Amino acid sequence: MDPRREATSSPRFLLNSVDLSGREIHPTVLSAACRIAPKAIPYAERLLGDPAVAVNLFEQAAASVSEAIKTKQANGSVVRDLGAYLFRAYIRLVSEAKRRDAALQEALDAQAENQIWHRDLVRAEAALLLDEIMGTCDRLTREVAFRRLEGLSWKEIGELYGLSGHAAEARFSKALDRARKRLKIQNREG
Amino acid sequence: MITNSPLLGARIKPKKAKSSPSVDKEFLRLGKEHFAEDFPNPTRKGCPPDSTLELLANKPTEVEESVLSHISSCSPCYRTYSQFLQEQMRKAQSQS
Repeated sequence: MDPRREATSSPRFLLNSVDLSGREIHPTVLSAACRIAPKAIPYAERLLGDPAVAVNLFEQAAASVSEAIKTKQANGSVVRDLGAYLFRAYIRLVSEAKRRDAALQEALDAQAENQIWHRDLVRAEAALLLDEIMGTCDRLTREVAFRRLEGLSWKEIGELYGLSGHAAEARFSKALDRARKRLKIQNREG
Repeated sequence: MITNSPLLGARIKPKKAKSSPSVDKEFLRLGKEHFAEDFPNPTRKGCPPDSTLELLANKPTEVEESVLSHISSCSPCYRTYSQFLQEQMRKAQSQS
C-alpha cells in the first residue's frame, strides 16, 4: 500500500507517513494534516516560494506533533483541536525557515556588494599605478608597459627593444614598485 | 666501480624558487580596460592620424614621444593603437 496519502480536498499535496528524517506521522495526525493541507501549504508556499520546502516542513510539523501527542497521552492530557495544534506547529517551522532564508539572502547580498567594491578598488588601483607610470617613466618603460598590456610576453617585448626578456620585465617591475611607493599602495602579492 | 650515486662532497645547488610574476593577468586586463575606456575624448582633441599610431606600433622609434603621451590619455587612440599591436602580434605569430 502506498504510504502517501492525498490531502482530501486537493490532489496537489501528497503527504508521506514519515517525515524527511524518518520520524513517523501518527494516523490521526495524518488525517488532520490532510484536512488542513490545502490551506496551510499554499500559505507557506507564498512565504517560502518553494512548494517542496513547504510540504517537507508540513510533514516535519506533523511528525513533531505525533511525538508531542504520544507524550501528552502518556501524561493523560489531550489535544482538543488537532488541526489547529498542527497548524500552529507548522507556522512556527515556516517562520524559522523564513528567518533563515532572509538571513542567508542578506549574507549573499552583502557578499555580492563586497565583491563589486573589491573589483572597483582593484581597478582604481591598477588605473592609478599605470597613470603614474605613464606620467613619470621614460619612453621605453611606457612602451614596454603598453605592449605588456596587449599580452606580449616579456621575451617578445625584449626582442623588440634589444633587451632580454628578464630586463624588460625588471624595467616594468621596478617602475611599478616605484609607482607603488610614491602612491603608498601596498603590493597585493606581498 | 661507477655508480649512479652523487659524488661524495659534491655541492648540490639548491633549486631556484620560482619567482612569482611581477604583475598578474587581472592587473593587465584592468589596465587595458582603463586606457581603452576611461578617456573618451569625444571631440578627438589632439588625436594623431591612424597612420602615426600604426607607425608607433610597428616602428616606435620613428614616432615622436608626444604621441605615446597622447595615447595614455585618449581611449579612442589607445584602442586604435591596440588594434595595430594585435595585428602585429598576429603577423609575428603566423611568421614563426
